[in-house]
Amino acid sequence: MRVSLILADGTCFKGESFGYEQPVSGELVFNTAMTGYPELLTEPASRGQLLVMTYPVIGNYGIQHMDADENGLPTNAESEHAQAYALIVSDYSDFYSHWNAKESLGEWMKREKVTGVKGVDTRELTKHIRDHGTMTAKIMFDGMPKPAEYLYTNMIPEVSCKEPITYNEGAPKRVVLVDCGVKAGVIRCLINEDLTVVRVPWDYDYCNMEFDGLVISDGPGNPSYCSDVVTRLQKFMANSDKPILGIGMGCLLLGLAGGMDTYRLKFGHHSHNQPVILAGTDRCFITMQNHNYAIREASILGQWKVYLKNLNDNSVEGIYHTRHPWVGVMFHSESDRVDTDTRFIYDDFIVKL
Amino acid sequence: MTRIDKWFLYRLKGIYDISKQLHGCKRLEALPEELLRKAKRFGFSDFQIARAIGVEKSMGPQQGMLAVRNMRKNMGIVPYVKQIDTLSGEYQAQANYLYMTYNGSAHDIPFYNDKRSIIVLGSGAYRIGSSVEFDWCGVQALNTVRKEGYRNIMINCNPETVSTDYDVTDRLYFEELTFERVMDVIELENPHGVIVSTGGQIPNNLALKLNAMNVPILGTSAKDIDNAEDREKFSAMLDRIGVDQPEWSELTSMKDIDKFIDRVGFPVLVRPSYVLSGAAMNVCSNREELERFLQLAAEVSKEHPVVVSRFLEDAKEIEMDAVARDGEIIAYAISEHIEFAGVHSGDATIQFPPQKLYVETVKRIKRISRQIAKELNISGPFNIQYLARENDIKVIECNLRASRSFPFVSKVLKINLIEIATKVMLGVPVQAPEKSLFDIDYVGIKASQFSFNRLQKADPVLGVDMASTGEVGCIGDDQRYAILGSMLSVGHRIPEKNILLSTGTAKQKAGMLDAARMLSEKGFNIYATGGTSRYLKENGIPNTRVYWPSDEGQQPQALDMLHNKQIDMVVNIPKDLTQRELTNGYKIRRAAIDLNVPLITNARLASAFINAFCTVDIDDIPIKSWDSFK
Repeated sequence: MRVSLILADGTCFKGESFGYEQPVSGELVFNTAMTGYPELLTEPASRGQLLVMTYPVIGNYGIQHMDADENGLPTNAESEHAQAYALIVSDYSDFYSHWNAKESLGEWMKREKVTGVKGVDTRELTKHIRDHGTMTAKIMFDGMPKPAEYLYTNMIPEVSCKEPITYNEGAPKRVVLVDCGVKAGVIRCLINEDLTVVRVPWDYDYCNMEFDGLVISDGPGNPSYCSDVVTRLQKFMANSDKPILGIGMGCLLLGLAGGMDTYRLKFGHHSHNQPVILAGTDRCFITMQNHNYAIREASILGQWKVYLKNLNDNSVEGIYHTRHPWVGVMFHSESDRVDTDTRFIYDDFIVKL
Repeated sequence: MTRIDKWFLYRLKGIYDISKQLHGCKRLEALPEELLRKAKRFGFSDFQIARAIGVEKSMGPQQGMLAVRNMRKNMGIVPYVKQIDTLSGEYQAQANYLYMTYNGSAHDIPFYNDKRSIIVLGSGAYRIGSSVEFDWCGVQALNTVRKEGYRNIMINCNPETVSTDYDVTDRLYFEELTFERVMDVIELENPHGVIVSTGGQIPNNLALKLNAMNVPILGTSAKDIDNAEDREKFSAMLDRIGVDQPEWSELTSMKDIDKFIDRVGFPVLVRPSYVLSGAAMNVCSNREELERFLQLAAEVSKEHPVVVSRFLEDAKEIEMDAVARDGEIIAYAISEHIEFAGVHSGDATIQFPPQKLYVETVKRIKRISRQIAKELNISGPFNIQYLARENDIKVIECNLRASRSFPFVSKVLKINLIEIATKVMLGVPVQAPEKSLFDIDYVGIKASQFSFNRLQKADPVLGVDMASTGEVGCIGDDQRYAILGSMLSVGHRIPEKNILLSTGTAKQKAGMLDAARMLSEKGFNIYATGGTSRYLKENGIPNTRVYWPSDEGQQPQALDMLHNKQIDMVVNIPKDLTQRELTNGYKIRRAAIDLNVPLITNARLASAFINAFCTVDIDDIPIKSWDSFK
């Protein structure tokens, strides 16, 4: 079925549908990763996105079994369900080949209600987003009504858990994980470090709980919509010296709690190969990122310092506190499938517990 | 079963399915736009589509292809130009590497339409017969174009060439050198002109087709290129201007061929028009060979006729590389093959300036070349190959493009013939160089590099099919220094003690006699096979007889000696093409290659090499820079 992708500035791209056949609107974001579409589509931080893959061949390895592991965490995915609203590709492979594949990407998307568009000049689309910035867009189907305009809202409640969940009970150390849209990989990583993980809903009051450290997870959308989380964090930080690790959105929230400003990047960081440098050194790491917002460097004052910076656009990729064991990073270092170069972020956090 | 991942097999099946759908459309009008678009996205060429639909048969290959092309252009199905970009568009790409795709909706680059660009067509994939020599020519043309104030654009699908380095061109299209794709680029770039004469035969072959589309081809006109390439037209022209050529005939039937051979006798040279590197070209010395080969040749080229010509034995082959402007030669270089005619010019050992040509021969060659240049109204580079026996000169062929030897003679002569040719083609004033080959008091020799040791079981003997995979040009104070330099550079060694001779026919044996005597006087031990041994003895040259593989039970066996590393060099010259001779000779030659013993299969080259190492000590070869030869 013929579909049109219409950008907020009126630019139109034509393509064909290969997923769920429903008009949809969302935030148009491109990702330069060559693989990992199941993880990207299920990553809570992708909530609301119309995801453009710059790599042309997508779907070739299908979708693997998405079951629950012994901890109840989804396998081969970052959450139980699709989070992105649509996937836009150049060449979709309906035929897939992978030893562990269960179904085609298109079949899965139909079930998970993700709209798919193929046959789009994704290079041109990417260049457009690059030059004009991330914007909203609509996907329209011939003969179907227009989708409602996409509105930027606080999407964290949609992706956060509803009740506290405890994983790996009985381990020597205990961390509280504030779920703003956590990736299964983060929980898995903490469990593998033999920590008891108490995953709490984003608006849960953890201040009076017994634990050794606090992790604030990644999540979708604009950090300034979550003032509740920031206020609670400020309250916690005023009375505690426990280690805090903020990842992605968690880092932004930590920054806001520390009095910093955040701003929207022109087209965000969405790839597997973002170069970051450890401030004050020549050590560089290639990191996996998926975020649209960043902390404004000029607002990092007092005892807060820049920890890491992006070598492409010089934006802040990490902050730390000089007096307290509080650290935030914008990238994901938990994945055992990417690399372990930045695993020290976790190691440093755990040592201080 | 094949261990090919099924994903790839399904992709292939997808292509096959489209092909089947195309075959289902019997007329162009029945071809749906969606299918045509899909076929182009999947990489079908206009020609393939024309053939699948059947219009190739009804309209002819070129017209059929053009019909598909026009149809898709009317539907707006055109390729888009994209940059090869390692950043997937995340940041502005600076890459000057371009490709075309139908999976797109916009170009990555702007087009200026200011007629200030020149497209140079490259040489395509490296292969035997067309490689770095044409790349050099292309790069020189690009450099000159840039120097003259034009933007230079290269189309070449070969990433290993210098012409495809990022800073050599203003725009590089990594694209195939087909009519379809070259036209796509030309229509977008709308250049001042296109240079087809520096990339070898592939771009040269496009000249007529591009000309028919009103593409401005720089230099010699497409019509004249065709007059030189089309053997019948060329031959008729030679007759008209009174220039001699080996007798030839165009093949129409076996009966006519027989009549022709009755007149000229074997051996004959058989080839289609439009060939480079001797592909589909062969010397046939008997009827059986002829018949077998004709079948093959007819399959190779349907568009162009097959030509049979008399093959002259013991003739010198001479190359004329030159640049002309409006039919007048302004720079030239005459070089001489060390081997007699019959060895492909790409395999032959070439010396420049010629060392053993009569002044009269050179004079005549110059005169004939002038006539041909004038008749074909050449503007740009060209090459003519001549046969010379005594002062009797015949034209073998003429190519209105840069030839393989342009870089070599340019470097020895120290005059960049391509730069001159490019200036001529651009129409900028150029002075004829004052220096000529008669002013040079050193010698350049180009020896060929072979890879027979990597080609299992191939017979390492040279013929009209080109086999060399590289070459080395060396400059020396005289022929001996130059030949030693170049032969050692391509992997030969100066033998220490024992040399195995097997020197072919009576005539070749006589030709090798001086060299054999020299070896003997220098204290080398000569081992020789039956006939050669007898001949040498009769002429007072001591030698030890060795036996052919077919002389079973007799000792010493030549092969055993090779295996025991008792031989330092083999000179094996095939006598004739009888089964016994071929098998025996092949075993010796192959053993030499497999055991890494230097092998020479040509009497003339062997004599020259032996003469050089017998009279010059390797330690006396001075190491000099190119600049020191003035």
